[in-house]
Amino acid sequence: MQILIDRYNPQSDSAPYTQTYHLNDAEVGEDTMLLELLQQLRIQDPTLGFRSSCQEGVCGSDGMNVNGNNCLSCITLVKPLGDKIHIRPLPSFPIIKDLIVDMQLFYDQYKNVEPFLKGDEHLSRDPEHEILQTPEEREKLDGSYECILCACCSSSCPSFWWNPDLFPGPAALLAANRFVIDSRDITTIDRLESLDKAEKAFRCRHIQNCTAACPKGLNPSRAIQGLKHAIVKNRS
Amino acid sequence: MLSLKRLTGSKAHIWQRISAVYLLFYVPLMALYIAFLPETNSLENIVGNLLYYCFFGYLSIVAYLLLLVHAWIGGRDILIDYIPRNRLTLWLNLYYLLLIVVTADLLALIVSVNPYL
Amino acid sequence: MTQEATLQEYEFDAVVIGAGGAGMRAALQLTEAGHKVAMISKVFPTRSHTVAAQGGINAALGNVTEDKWQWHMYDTIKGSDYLGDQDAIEFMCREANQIVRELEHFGVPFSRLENGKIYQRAFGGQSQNYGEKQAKRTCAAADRTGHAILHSLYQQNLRAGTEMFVEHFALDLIIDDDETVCGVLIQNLHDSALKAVWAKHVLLATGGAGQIFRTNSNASINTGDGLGMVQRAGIPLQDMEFWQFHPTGVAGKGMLISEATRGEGGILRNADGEAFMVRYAPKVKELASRDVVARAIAVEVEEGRGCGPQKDHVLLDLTHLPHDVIENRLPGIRDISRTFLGIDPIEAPIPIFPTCHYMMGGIPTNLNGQVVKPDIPYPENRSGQSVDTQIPVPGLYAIGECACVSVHGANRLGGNSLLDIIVFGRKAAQEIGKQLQNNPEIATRPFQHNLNALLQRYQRWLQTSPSESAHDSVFAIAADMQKIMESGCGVFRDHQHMQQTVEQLRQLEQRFAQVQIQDDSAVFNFERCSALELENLLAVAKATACSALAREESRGAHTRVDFSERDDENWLKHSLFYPQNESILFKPVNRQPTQHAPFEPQKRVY
Repeated sequence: MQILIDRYNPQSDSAPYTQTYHLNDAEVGEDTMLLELLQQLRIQDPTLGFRSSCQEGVCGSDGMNVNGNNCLSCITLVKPLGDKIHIRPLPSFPIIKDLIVDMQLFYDQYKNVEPFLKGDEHLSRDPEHEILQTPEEREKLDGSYECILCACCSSSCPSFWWNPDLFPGPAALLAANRFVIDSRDITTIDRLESLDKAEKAFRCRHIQNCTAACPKGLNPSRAIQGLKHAIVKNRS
Repeated sequence: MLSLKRLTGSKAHIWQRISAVYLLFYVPLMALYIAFLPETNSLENIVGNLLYYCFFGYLSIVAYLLLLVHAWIGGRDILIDYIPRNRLTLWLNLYYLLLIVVTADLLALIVSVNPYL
Repeated sequence: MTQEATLQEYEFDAVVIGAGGAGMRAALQLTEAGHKVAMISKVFPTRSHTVAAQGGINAALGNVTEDKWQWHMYDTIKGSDYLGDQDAIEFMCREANQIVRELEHFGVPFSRLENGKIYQRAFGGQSQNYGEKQAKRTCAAADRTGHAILHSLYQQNLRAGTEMFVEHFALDLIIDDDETVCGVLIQNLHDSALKAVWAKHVLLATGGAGQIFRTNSNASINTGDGLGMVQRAGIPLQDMEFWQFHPTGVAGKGMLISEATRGEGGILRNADGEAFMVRYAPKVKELASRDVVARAIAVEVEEGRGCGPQKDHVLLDLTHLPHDVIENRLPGIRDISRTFLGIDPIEAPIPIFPTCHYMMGGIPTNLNGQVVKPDIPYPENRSGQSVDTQIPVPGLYAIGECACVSVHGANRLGGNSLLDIIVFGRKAAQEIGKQLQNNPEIATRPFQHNLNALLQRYQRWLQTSPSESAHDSVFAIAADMQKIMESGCGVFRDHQHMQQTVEQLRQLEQRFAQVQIQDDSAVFNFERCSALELENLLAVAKATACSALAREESRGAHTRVDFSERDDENWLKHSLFYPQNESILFKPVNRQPTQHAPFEPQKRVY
């Protein structure tokens, strides 16, 4: 089995290059995840750089591009990937080292949509009562709050590739939508108005790369569609 | 024409939809209209017929204005996506100019084919 | 060029090390109070391991079943096998309701009941009216409660504008000649730049160290860095023999399958299909506390009733539950089961086996989160005088899993760890805020300090050896440590095996003293980071093995085959491990709650 990894060390390389590793097929079981393989390779070659933490797909550290698709290495089975696996860093981000990318723009875009609950001042200060929410209202948040900020979606989105500093990208818009539809948030109109710009919500073209890439099975494209509807409805 | 530049966000989105729907109905209607014209030998003749006879003329003027809006929004979005940031303003202005020239050209055509002149 | 010359320096009122739930709750409190605070994390904050907590957070809200904080307190003390400090447990349980509502106000998307209130589910060890009917006390956001809480806290910190040092590794505490902690030495993982962060108050929230065991539910970042730092600063570690083995880890892999599965009605079955828990906990069966269930599973497998070709696991059966319960209340579990086992729990039971999950012990602290130590440097200095074990270390605080208040005693109840981190995260921050108000003028940067010695310790990792000449590696030592700990300090322990473990750990320490790294890169040098982490892990492993060897009784999660009974007469006390001479000092358990009569130790039956 061949593993091709795009390597880059800013201290010694002028540009990224592809390194080929060979692995015995017998070392790969039916249930071997890609991260285990990378950990094996790191024992052979301690200079190999990649991030990881929880190893079960909830922390979002190890987003990478494998055979052209963005995924989390810890929940990606090796066997279905074939005999030749090409691993690249997440596209569109500056490469720091090997598979480690600089995600600052991604985090900034997340921060820019003000992804925090702005509830009623009075209710939010009451330590004796929760802000009530019906199960139906709460159900609307399913599919939005589970995002793990792995950036698999945004780094597969052409609109984000072109304008990562202007366009929030699918992850940030998914977060924006999560607070727009939260019944406890009282700033819905402000939120909608701030997203009503050519380079914000309406830069999304719904090509749905984000939805295809999301390792948690979320659908940012549909959430952005919902956002657009809400913005238009708010206008009229 | 100037207000085109302020057509962003949800306004652009709404106008894009409105123009698309309008053109969806207008274009087949126009095709039918032309097909049943008695004489369709020249462009002047067609334009003249589309614009200056009965109420179809009004429909055509609205169609053109909406087409202009549609083309501006669509073209602008593509330019924003693909043109490098430092040259974007230049290209947007060029595109804007192009739309003005096309409009002026069309106006000249319309005036020149006016059967009442 | 010396390291000193390249050292960048910063000054803060307070610095929080760790950006999990505890660290972020504390940083939020301090930032909102207007203090100059920095939060340091070796990973981006939402990668912290709080994100993996599933089941929920306990509070006697009484939304589903009638509940009182006093009952919660009783359950927690009983769950701790009476080793938990009753004043701390009382404080935590009394704060719980407000803490959970505050989280709700921060935006945590808790699941809801028809009346709009927070959904609560049953968890192990919970009862109404001091041990009667099962209570439903665990507030949940589906089975992603930790994720929901961690992300909401990160979001609130974004709102507040907390200053963060992301992907910075904390190496050591800086201490002045008065033994006051006055800062921390950190390293930027992006470029290996060392930074001295001077602060009047240093708060450790570095989480657990489950990586000392091979099969664990912990993230690879859970390497006990705070514990290592504290030990090197001469402070003993408390109750390190108590490690929780979560009953339901994915067999052979260790990922967590939440206790919520049993709370929602899941049943454990052995190879004969028998629901065996009835034999171990006749009253509450699957909902006995975790140590009881983990032992039951281990016994079933030991006695040959395990499932699968190796007979090495049991089954967690959810197939009888309504589909919508699994889909709506346990979606994350379904994901994990399908991803790692290819099994849909709606259709087939999940193979499970206990996995190392949580460290009950840690850095000794008082109710305010202040790190405390005895007033003597070593147990040998004792010479008859009575020892005060609660002397605060000036400038140093610890919260969350790395701390031992102790609210979990010998066994933690499910749903109490999320509560612990938020309660004491807020409390420690309030205490720091109070101190900052009372003494606004103390200088942050002292004249005399140990920074040079700390830099010296780090120097060794700047030398690398070429890969051809390396016959040992950091990764090999780590793997050996995990195997040694698993075989010697697992669910069942005995003197002989643990003695062997201690000796093997000493050998590992020698290997570690010799080992060199191969990677000389300054950019994301994981090998060097792993080496620094391994030093911390080895310290934790040693503390665990020595403390476990010393405790000659079975209590909570610490099960001795050779001392199978609990011995309140001799062992109802905390242990404090000193690495310098591998000695142990004991400190009494607090049994003076302020609002409730003390709970006397009783036989623990579920």
